[in-house]
Amino acid sequence: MEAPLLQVENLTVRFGGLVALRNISFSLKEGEFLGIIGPNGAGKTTLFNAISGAVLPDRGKILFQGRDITSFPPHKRARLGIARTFQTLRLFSRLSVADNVKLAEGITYPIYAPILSLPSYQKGERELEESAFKLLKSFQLERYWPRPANALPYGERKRLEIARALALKPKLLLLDEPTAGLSHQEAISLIEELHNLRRKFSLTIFLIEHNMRIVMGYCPRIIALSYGEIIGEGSPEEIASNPAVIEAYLGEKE
Amino acid sequence: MNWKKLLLLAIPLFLWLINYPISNPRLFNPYALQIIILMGVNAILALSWDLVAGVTGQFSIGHAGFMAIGAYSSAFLTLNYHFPFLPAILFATLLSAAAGFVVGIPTLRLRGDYLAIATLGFGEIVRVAILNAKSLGAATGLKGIPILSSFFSVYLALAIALWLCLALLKSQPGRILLAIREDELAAQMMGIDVVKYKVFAFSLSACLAGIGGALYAHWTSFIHPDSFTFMKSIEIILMGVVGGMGTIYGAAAGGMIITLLPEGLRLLLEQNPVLSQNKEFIRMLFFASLLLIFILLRPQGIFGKKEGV
Amino acid sequence: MNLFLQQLINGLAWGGIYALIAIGYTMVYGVMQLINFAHGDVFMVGAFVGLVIAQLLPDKTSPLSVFLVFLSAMFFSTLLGILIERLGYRSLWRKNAPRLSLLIVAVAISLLLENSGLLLFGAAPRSFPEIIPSKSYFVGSIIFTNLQLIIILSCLLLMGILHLIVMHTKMGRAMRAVAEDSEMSALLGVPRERVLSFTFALGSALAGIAGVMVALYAPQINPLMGLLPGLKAFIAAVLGGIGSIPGAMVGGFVLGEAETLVSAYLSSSYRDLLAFLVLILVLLLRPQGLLGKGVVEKL
Ligand SMILES: Nc1ncnc2c1ncn2[C@@H]1O[C@H](COP(=O)(O)OP(=O)(O)OP(=O)(O)O)[C@@H](O)[C@H]1O
Ligand SMILES: [Mg+2]
Repeated sequence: MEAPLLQVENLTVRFGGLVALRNISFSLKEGEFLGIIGPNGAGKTTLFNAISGAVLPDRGKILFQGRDITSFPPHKRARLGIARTFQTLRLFSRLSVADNVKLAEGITYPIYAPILSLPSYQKGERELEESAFKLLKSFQLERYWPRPANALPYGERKRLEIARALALKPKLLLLDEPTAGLSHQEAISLIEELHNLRRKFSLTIFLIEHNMRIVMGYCPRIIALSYGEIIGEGSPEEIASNPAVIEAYLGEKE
Repeated sequence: MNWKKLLLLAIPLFLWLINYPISNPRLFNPYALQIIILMGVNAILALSWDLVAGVTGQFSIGHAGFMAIGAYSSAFLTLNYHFPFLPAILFATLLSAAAGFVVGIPTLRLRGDYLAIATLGFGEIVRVAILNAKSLGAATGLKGIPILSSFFSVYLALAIALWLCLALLKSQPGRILLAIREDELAAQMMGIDVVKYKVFAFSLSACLAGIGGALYAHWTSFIHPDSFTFMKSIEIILMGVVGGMGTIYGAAAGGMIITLLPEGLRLLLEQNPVLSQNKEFIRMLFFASLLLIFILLRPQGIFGKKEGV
Repeated sequence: MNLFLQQLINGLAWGGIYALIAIGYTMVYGVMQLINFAHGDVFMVGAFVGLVIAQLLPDKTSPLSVFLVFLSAMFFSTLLGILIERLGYRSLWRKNAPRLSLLIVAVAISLLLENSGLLLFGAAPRSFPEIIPSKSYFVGSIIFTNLQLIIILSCLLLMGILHLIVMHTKMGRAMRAVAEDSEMSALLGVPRERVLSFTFALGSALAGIAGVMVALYAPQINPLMGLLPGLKAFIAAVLGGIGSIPGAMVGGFVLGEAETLVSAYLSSSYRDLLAFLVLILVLLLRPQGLLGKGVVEKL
């Protein structure tokens, strides 16, 4: 059996007295579309932060492609192929849509090349331009090319954030509530789009989602989190009939 | 695109051609030349600050320190060892860049406001160190520095600095610096080694400030630790803010405006004995008020776009 | 050993003064994440108000005069603190402007106060009237003055009062809520703008009192006197853990002692560099300070 793409072992994250994640272990296979659900404050975003390196865990290990990345800085994890979006948009709001995407693609020429206008710089910029255009086009965002990111409508900004993450050419994409704030129709079409992307870029997707119908409908495997602990894991049917999950959601809407 | 390169070559030629008449006191008012040269020097300093603060979003209030390093190191070489100007400037540039690097590595890991204090501390340390260095004239300053700066050298340096900043901003490294300003954490998550780029911006900025300092020293021919106090750093900030942070041309223009404005003020003040006694305080009050007015009412500066700072 | 003890006693008074100023920095930082550079100048204004009032009073050494001098210094610096917050920071804070803009405003206000002071009073130091006639006491071979005693005791008293205000009044609780989580506190109905005003008022009152204390202890004042003690007090706040009130107190005393010992045993010209060195060391080795909590940005 091949090694999992991502493996999380006994992960614990504390904020002062608060235990945001307690002893979390799970793994994620290449090509999977894993959903994670849980009430507000369950620790879902914190889990993403730990995987992407925004917070360091107090205990536990994170392995990516068999490599221990627990103490890697965020930018190194991103370069290894872990990309993410944020629950509240974090675009580079005054930069153009094009720049937002180009930025994540890395740099192919030495830092002094632009000053001397070297051929490597011109070639590198041309390539950036082309791949950024292709990527934006696949999201139908290319018409916004020169506009500052904060001038786009909300829904488009959410999609731009996903496009920006994909510019890293990641293997694993962490999506923190990509459908929040979208209408049901928009949400469904976004998820459909993600499904296609996953196939096209052979991506592994890890999705935080509050909309039960969407997770249940699209994610073959789901993890349920509550108060920092995994209370259920399995297919949508298994999750839906798991008494602990039902208990955690009791009183919640949906 | 070849006409563009031609134009680029024309700029130094043009500067060189008008250098002669403009430097001749019989053809051109020396007082006006003095101001024009200081405008050029200050434009370089404003650019230097804009690169870290306006473009990269890192607040430095110690730029006078880098300027001092450039001024003193180049003057030390030309005065004591009769170095030609160009190698002296190059040495000053490298030394200030090294200082930027050394200060940057530990402090740029810090959050923005700590960085501000750390750069302030750096500026003070440089000044106190010079004040205690006998070979640098200590409290009497350095006198008799050869006057090697000219209209040509100052404005050529400014043109190069502008070119450098503009080329940088259009390219991937420039985009990365802007992204760090917009959202440092998101930039990290996009695979950017934020500390490395901040140190880069800081060193480059220090190097420009060092050039500014060297040009300044070889124009005024006299430098003193008091020329590089905290107030000088504030003046540099004011230039960047008034011009428009993050706007390259704007910052340079801001440097020129902030040099020119107080001259008018000075002419006014000097007519009244009481005011003229306090002209330094009045000048600083004027600067402080300008700074407040701009940040509160027009944060994008004169040349910035509407989105604001 | 005796010399060492003597130095410790001398350092205590400066430590208390740094602590009083540091509290203002730390409280403001707590509620709005701003280094209020103008705080050191509020302290200077306190000293000058004290000077003006003391010169007006006929019987300078009566307890009533002393009380009036402190009270008026406190009153005017409080007023000034509130004004600074209202006119300088509030509109930017409301707009959620970048921190850089707030910092620039802080620097500008500081310059405005300093240079107004220079214009009004000139740059030459002025001596402060001796409103508390100095007495010295001996314990063994150690000397201390009544002024040192008064400063240290009043610092402790003021810190006690501050503690009561912060822990046990409604405003104090609101302050802590805003410092803990500003957005959340707004959702819970905490009047954030009033809390900001209150925080500035409280910090400035302490700074005003510290101003008079320094004026008595130095006993000279000048319009730039706020610059260095202000920076050092800020460094004390960072040393203690910015945002933490007990941290500011501890940081103030530690820095005061360290400075006195350095100037006693090494050289007084290192005294002013020490603070910056401490700053850089703290930032490198323990950025959260002695008593501060590690902060993580929320995503
Ligand atoms: N940087 C931080 N500092 C302190 N506490 C934090 C921090 N980040 C998260 N927390 C706390 O950790 C807990 C888990 O938060 P987290 O954001 O991971 O929840 P979540 O499952 O993503 O919730 P939501 O559905 O609301 O997004 C919460 O109690 C939160 O307040
Ligand atoms: Mg979340």
